[in-house]
Amino acid sequence: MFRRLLPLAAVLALTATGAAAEALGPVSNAAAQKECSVCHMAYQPQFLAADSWSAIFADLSNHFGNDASLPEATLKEVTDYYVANAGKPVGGRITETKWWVNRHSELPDAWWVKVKYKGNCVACHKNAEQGYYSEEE
Amino acid sequence: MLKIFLAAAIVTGTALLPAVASADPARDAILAGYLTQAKAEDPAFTDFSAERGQAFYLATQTGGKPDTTACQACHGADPRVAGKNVKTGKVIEPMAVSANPKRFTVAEDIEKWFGRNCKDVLGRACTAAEKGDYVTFLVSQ
Repeated sequence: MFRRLLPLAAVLALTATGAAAEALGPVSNAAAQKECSVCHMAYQPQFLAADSWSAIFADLSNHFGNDASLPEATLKEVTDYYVANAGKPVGGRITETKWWVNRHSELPDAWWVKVKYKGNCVACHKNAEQGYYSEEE
Repeated sequence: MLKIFLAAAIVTGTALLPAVASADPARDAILAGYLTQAKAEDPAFTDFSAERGQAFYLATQTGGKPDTTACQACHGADPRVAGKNVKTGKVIEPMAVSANPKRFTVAEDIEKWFGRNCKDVLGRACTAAEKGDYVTFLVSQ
């Protein structure tokens, strides 16, 4: 019984310390997980506000320099999932939100060259896809 | 003793056969569809060619994005091994059917990728002939 309560206790404890972003869980929609993880990891919806997600999904053929177009039905399902589960941060992309910039401000430029791009969470946050983002390095 | 020897010989012989892509009805139907379209686009078109497909796969294209001037930019020079997204470094499973038997069996997925990647690599849609040649090449690998 305690084993089942432990994850809940962990989330509550982390929420209490204001560190809820460290225990988000994986992307829980199968289509979103599949379609959004072919080029980069599927980012958890809490990382952007609903309007920010809507803007991204409205223009997938110009997705940060590449064509990421989806068939209509899949696009609707994925958009609905992200919008319904969105968080607070406003911005064109996760790595430009105030929250993200503040959290990563101490890292040198050379760091980003090493991991290729700022959205490469898993390079340092090994369990990012499961929703764990506590400082790993 | 002889039976065991014969059995071992057959197993070894079979294992040494070159990898041949097994026929897949879904893939065959998709290729047939592309062939119909290719002939509609060009009545002189006869059939797909793995050689043309290979040339297309390897060729440096113009008209697309600077990162992706060829299919091989992401899929690698050898389609039988995994490729890598040229922008993000994410691993892309091999394109060759011998290495990845599910390739080219779901029409919606194929069209999704041709739609995106032809635009990024060539700056335009691929013709049905190009698509069919490309798939035929990768079936042969």
